[in-house]
Amino acid sequence: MRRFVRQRKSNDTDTDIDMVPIMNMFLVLIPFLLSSASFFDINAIHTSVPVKQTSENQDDSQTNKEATIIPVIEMQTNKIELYALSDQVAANDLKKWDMSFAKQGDSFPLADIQTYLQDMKKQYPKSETILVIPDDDILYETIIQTMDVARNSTQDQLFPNVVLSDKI
Amino acid sequence: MALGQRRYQRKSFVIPKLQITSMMDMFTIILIFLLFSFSDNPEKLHIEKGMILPKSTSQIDCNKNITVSLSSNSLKVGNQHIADVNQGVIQGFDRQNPEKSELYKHLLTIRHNLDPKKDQDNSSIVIFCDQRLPYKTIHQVVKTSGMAGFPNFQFAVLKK
Repeated sequence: MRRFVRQRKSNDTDTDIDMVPIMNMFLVLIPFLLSSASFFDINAIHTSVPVKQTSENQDDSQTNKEATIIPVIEMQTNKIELYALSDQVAANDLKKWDMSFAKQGDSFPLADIQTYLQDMKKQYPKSETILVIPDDDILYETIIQTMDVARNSTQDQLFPNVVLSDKI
Repeated sequence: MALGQRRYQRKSFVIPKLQITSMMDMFTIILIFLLFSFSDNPEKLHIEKGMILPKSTSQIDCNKNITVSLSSNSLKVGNQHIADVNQGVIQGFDRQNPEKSELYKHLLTIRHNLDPKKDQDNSSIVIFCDQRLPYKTIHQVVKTSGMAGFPNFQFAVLKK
């Protein structure tokens, strides 16, 4: 029995794992990853300004059988005016898209605007372009938020081509 | 007796091993964090000091071709200073005649130097703009860019 206890004691010596090579590897990896890490993930929103259209380009749009519509978001200091433009839809049909959303506190009711745009997209699925007309005093941050709402909803894409314009 | 005890104690003293387990834990956390933020194409874009970019849901990568930086106190094309900005007004910029502005001339030079075959797809401007600026300031830059032959542009935003 005593011999067994003595033998057990002699086998109980701690075997430490040599961590030094792992530490060395970490010390090499961390500076490498630090140099290639991107802490700011910069993305982009593609936009354009209206350009003069030639008659050839206009013919292309007229040959398209399915009607398209261009929603317009007019951002004013205290409200957002929404309406639609199209040369393929009757004026009476366009008139029903005229709507106005008053500013609620410091922000615009973007959720309501998104619902409005979703309805429009459902009716005219071929439409891709939206016109955003901000007032001079509208902040850039608000314009970007509105553009986000106009381009995507939570479910699907709405109007991916955003055009910044002056008042028509 | 006491001296003998002290001698005995000194002999039994074992140098303590350095505990690197906690350091290993720390390194592992740092390593995982860095692995998640690893980018094979790190951004080499210079953002003006004090500039706050707006946040957006956009998932499109930023094309780093021609950059226009519009902060609350300066307007730059690439690294070149074009004009000072004071309270949202670009100094020396006539809204009625954007063709006479330094920005227009500079962009026009860049436009002429572009190879039409090679740079057809990359001829859009990336605009870095402070989120606190009003549209009237941005509009001057956007309108001038369009007139100089860059109707397509990208607004640089931070990922939400």
